[in-house]
Amino acid sequence: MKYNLYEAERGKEYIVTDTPDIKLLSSIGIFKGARIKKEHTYRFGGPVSVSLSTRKIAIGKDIAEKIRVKGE
Amino acid sequence: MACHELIEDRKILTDENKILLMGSPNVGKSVFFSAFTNIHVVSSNYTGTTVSYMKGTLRLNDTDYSLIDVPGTYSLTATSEAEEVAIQFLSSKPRAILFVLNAADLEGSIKLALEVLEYRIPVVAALNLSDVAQRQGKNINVRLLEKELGIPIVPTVAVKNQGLKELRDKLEEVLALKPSGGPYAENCAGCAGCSGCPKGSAMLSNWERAKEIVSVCVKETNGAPSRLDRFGDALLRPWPGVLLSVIILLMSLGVVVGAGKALRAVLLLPLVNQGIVPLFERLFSSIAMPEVLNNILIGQYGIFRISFEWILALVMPYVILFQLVFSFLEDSGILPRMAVLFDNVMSRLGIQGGSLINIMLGFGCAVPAIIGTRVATTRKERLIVTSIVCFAVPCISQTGALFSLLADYSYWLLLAVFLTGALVFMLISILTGRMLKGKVDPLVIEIPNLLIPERKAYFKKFFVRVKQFLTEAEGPMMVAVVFAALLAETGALAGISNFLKPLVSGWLGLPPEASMSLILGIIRREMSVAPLLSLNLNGLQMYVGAVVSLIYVPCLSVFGILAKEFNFKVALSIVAGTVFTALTLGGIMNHVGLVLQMVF
Repeated sequence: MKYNLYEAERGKEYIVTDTPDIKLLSSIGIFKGARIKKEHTYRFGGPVSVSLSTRKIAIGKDIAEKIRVKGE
Repeated sequence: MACHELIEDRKILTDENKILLMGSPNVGKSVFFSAFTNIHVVSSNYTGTTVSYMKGTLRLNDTDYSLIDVPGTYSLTATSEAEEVAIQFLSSKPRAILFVLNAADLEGSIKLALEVLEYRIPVVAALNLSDVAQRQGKNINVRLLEKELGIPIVPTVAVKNQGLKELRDKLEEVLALKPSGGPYAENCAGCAGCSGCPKGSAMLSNWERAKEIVSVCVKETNGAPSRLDRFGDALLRPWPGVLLSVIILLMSLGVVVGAGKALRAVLLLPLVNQGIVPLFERLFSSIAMPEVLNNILIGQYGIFRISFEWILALVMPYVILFQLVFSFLEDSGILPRMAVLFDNVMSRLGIQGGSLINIMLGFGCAVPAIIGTRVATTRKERLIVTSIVCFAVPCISQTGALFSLLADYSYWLLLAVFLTGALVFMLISILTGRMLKGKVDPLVIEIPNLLIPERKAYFKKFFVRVKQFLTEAEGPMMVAVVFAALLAETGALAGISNFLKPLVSGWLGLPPEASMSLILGIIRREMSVAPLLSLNLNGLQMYVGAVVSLIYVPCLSVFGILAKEFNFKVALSIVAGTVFTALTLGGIMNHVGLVLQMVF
């Protein structure tokens, strides 16, 4: 089951399969193979928030739509 | 980007006795720096508080070392200015590194630590925020972690001074070892990796290694999340987060405005009007001097009258209360949550939620807000946010003055000015976004744990901020006051007012003496409002006067910081833009108001 991170269901865990080429993403913890949990989607063009193992981050919609994830 | 722009003082790189203070963003590096060097740098609970490096002296083993507070980074891949600064420092042969691990985000900070360790420089680590980790039920085996990473580690709670002594001792121990102890020459940190070396996929292997280390060293005791963590989560949820944020903002505003008003009415106005000013009136009347001099000193606009009326009674209460409230918001971790919640609104305006933190900073003072925009990833974003702060965000001194002017008359008037300001905010954001080339990157932000600000650190920051205000704003404010006294009491104002009458009275509909606002407003923002207080304006005049002074020239210090952070041309364009917009919009509003008055 593949989704983009923006549409991925909240509260579920995913594995990242593809990310846009933004260095900050990989250094903050979003890279191919990373396990993440989708927390919230903020409506009206807002970001998504995700939990990594020990940190929480928010990613703007434009980037989140380009991050591909698959369910476990 | 040329290196010299990042590290202004090249000598710092050749300094032999350097110790680097490093770690991910928002782990409290600046708190360690302040504690070890007695130089107070502002720390907050969001990423990017330190936008440039800081240098201080730390005495260890009877030798003076330069401790350098390197801006926090998530990695060492030179993708941002902060990372480039960090790499330059790492490559400049420091004696040791004081690395700050975040106990509450161990995996992320271990991953960065592994990257730093590749530089083969002696490292001592602090395991900071260990109280937060404990609160979250994480049990970290420090001895095991030391073994895994091969460096000494001291658990700390820096804001409470816990563990700092031990950390210092460990640092002395490490420095006492011969510097030739490690294989310095074999530095493969900058290498992209070669066959047989796991560095080929360095990022991944470090992340994997970090995960492994965490699984070995951390035991999760599955306690229920604390009330604070649950509140932090609620504040991050779209519902009820947005509602809670609005409540928090309104409460903050209520405290500043309400308590400020009360302080003024109960304490400061009586003190000034019945205590200080009469005292000086008696004093000066007992000394024989020419009438003009007497007027300059204590006349209607006399120095010894308006300096107390304007600075002590009008500006100070609001500045103090704002810093009390805002320091709390900064240290708690509420601001980055608001950045996430309001990112959708901000991106409609062509910027992203993270900028909200700098804009809120601007409600205190525009100078730190403009410096803070260094965290923006593109120049375009920096310029948009800076323009918003200069055009549409009143600093707290001005807000206080505006409030005194308007709220005593009618709260509706206050609301009208607020809405006009919001409109200008939106227009400036959209227009500058259209005009400037380039792009604005979408939000990527780490959300810190919610914290209750530690009392000592909180008050220290508060006092530093107020002191900073006194030392930096007192001078220009006094210049403005003396200037006002000279203008008004020597008759010069009458001449200028006559000259500006077509503009001030004809176009803006204000009394001719309001020209004083336009003159003083160049020096300081609140000084464009203060002269309006004693002019007995009607409702429309108050509204127009308030709108003009809100948009009008930020102040001399802002001009200086614009020229420094960007260039002279940018500074001049922004200031010219504010003058033009203020006068145009003020005049239009005046004429619209006059027509409305005739119709109704």
